[in-house]
Amino acid sequence: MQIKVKVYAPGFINHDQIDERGFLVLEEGATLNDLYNKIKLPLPLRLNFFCSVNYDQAHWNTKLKDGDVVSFLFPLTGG
Amino acid sequence: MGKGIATINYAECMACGCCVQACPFSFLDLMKTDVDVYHKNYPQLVPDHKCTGCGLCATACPVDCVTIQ
Amino acid sequence: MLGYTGKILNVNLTSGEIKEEVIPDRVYEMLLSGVGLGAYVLYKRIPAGADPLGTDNVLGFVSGLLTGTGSVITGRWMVVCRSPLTGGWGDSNCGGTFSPAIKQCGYDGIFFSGISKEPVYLYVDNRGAELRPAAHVWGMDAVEAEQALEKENWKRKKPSIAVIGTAAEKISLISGICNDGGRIAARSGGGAVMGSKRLKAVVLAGTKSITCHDPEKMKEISKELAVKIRKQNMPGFVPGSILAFGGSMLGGMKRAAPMDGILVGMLMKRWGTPMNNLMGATSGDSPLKNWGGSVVDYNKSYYKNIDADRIIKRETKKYHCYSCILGCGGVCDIKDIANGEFSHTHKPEYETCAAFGGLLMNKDLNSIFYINELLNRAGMDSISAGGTVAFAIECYENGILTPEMTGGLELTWGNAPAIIALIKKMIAREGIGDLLADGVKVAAAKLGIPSSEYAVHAGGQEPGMHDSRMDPVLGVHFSADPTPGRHTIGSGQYYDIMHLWEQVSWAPVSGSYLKADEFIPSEKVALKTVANSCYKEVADGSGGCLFAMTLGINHWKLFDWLNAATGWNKSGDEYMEIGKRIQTLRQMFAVKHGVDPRSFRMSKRMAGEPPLTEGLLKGNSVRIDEMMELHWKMYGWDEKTGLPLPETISQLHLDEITQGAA
Repeated sequence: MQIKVKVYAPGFINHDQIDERGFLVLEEGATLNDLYNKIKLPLPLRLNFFCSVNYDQAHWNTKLKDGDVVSFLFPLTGG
Repeated sequence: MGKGIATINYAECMACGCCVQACPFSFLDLMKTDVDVYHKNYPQLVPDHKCTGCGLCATACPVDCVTIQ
Repeated sequence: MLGYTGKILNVNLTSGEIKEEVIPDRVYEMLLSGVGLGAYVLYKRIPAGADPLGTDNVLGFVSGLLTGTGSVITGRWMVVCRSPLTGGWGDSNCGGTFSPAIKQCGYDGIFFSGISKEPVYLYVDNRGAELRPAAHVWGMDAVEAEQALEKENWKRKKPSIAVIGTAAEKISLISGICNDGGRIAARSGGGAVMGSKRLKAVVLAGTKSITCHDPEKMKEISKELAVKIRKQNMPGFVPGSILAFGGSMLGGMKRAAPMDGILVGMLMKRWGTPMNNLMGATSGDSPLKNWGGSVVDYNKSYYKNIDADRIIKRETKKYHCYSCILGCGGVCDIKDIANGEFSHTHKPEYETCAAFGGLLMNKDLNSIFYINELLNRAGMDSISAGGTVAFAIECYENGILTPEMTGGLELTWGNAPAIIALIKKMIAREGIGDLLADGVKVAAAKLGIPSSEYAVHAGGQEPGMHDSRMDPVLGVHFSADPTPGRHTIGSGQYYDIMHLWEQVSWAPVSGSYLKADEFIPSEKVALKTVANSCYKEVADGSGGCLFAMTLGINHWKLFDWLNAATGWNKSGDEYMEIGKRIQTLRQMFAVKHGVDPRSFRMSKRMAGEPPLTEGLLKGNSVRIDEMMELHWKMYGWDEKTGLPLPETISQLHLDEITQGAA
């Protein structure tokens, strides 16, 4: 079984495994840490407040389920 | 309506000020600053209010956190 | 029961006549309320080529369609007029409590024509409207006048007041209209129009309820968003200096990808717009040294002084506009700086910090606090004022302005006391200040051709403090919009964060993409700029805030709210069509008044001609002419001239609703 989560991650991380609509496929039972590894997120950005799962700040061992939304804080500028 | 005065549930309130603007007597004001860490100003009845419990503030609240009690 | 009231109030200041007018439902269905309604009324009523400061110009105050209907972050009011600064369409929007107050008086907009003999103000409550003498408040600054009028008119309900300061009384073309103690609708020179009409203020004390089609549904959507926003909290231990780090990451990024706007809420709640002070300097977003410098000049020893933490440290409480659940504003008490004491003042926003910080190479934060207070009270646009001071400094550096002309002021980069003195002269229109009080374009025309190189503007409007050489999409909006120089219409990053493609079939999907691709003119990039500006017009018709738009369309559900408020059942595509219609009507307005859209092209320096030689934006230039053409083409306007094509006008049914125009 595989699960599909939506990921909003900054442009500098590895987007190879994320499709055009922002979905990433993971094995069932995967945690946030597995996702971090898959997108090769730099260590300093693994602090809790940088990442939310379904808009709740999430710990790295949070278990992900199908349809979750994983978003990273990234500053907004321009315009 | 008319059975009580405007009562705000601060756990739900977003401090948007819709109730303040709706009050026809300006008995509500954004003045309570001890609710969150940001010192946002939350609505509160002014000290010498004569709230009639008309309920316009409750109708205006977008998150239904104002009731007449 | 449709979210709007269906009525406007027309006030003729020459004759004193005040009349209600019913607006057909079809107008709202085609153009919404707010800016759309304003464009409809102004297009029909202002005769071609009317003097922006004359009797024929119409000044409108309009409220958004969603204001007061149970939606959130939709409480902005807009001022509309023919702009004396650009000669074309003028609008500007502002928060505070004025927007619901217009609707609580029973109107969607209040429109003024003519010129009053004596200074007057308009008072409206449930019983009706009347013009009252304003000689006693004429000459007061915006905050004093607001307080005086509030005291005078506070019978039962605290009135909401839009008022001009002394800059607008002196017809400074870069003046705006204030409310709520110094919040200002600053752009397009609306203040000068109000000043020219001798209308000091509009005082609204109505208490009518604002109704809509489905209040329960409205609240349901609001609650969904409120739950998400409530959770966005930045831990207290995180210092503001992290933003400089964020900025340098952003600036160094080769690729961009769509982000989730909700999380930006935590930055907004904590710091408000000054979050961009450090980020802008380190990412290349803030223009520095009158668009001629880089972070190599305005380095850490400078920018560390405008750290957002230093600004919020002064806040006594947060400030939030009507219906806002983010609350990005702040109220400060400043008691310890050499320039005097002032209490209950709005904190300087990012645009002010950048215009009087990096743009002038200024590192004195106290001077920024003081200038912010001076400008808020005088009612002068801080972006335009900063741009004009930067222009003056560069003219001084190059011998075009001499010490005799400046009255002995040493106008050098970062000379805070001289900048403050110059601002005071501009507000009072004294000496050199008189030359500069109408913005860079007018000043450059008076000083002669050599100075025009230093005049950074688009169509006469000084640009917002965001660099088009970092984000070329922004450059298109600076140059090809009916309101040129406007930083709030759209940018590449805004597009990525708004997720319009989720609800609009033709909006291109942003996956991960190379930032360099945005510098290459293409139909895909043009579709992004078209989508950005259509969406902005829908938001301006609804009273929405830019910072709500950047939460993303799937969180701040503008289209769903509009359907619930009005009982319509329109799709995202249909709402974007409305946006396109408003935008086309604004462009038609500019053309009607003789504006050549090509003349709005941004200054060469803003397009990187020649490019900067150091810093993050080194070598960047924007192929702006090609990008403007593509943008216009995708709008259905003539790609060479920017004139809306007849078939586009009839396809949007604009020929039908503009019938019988003056």
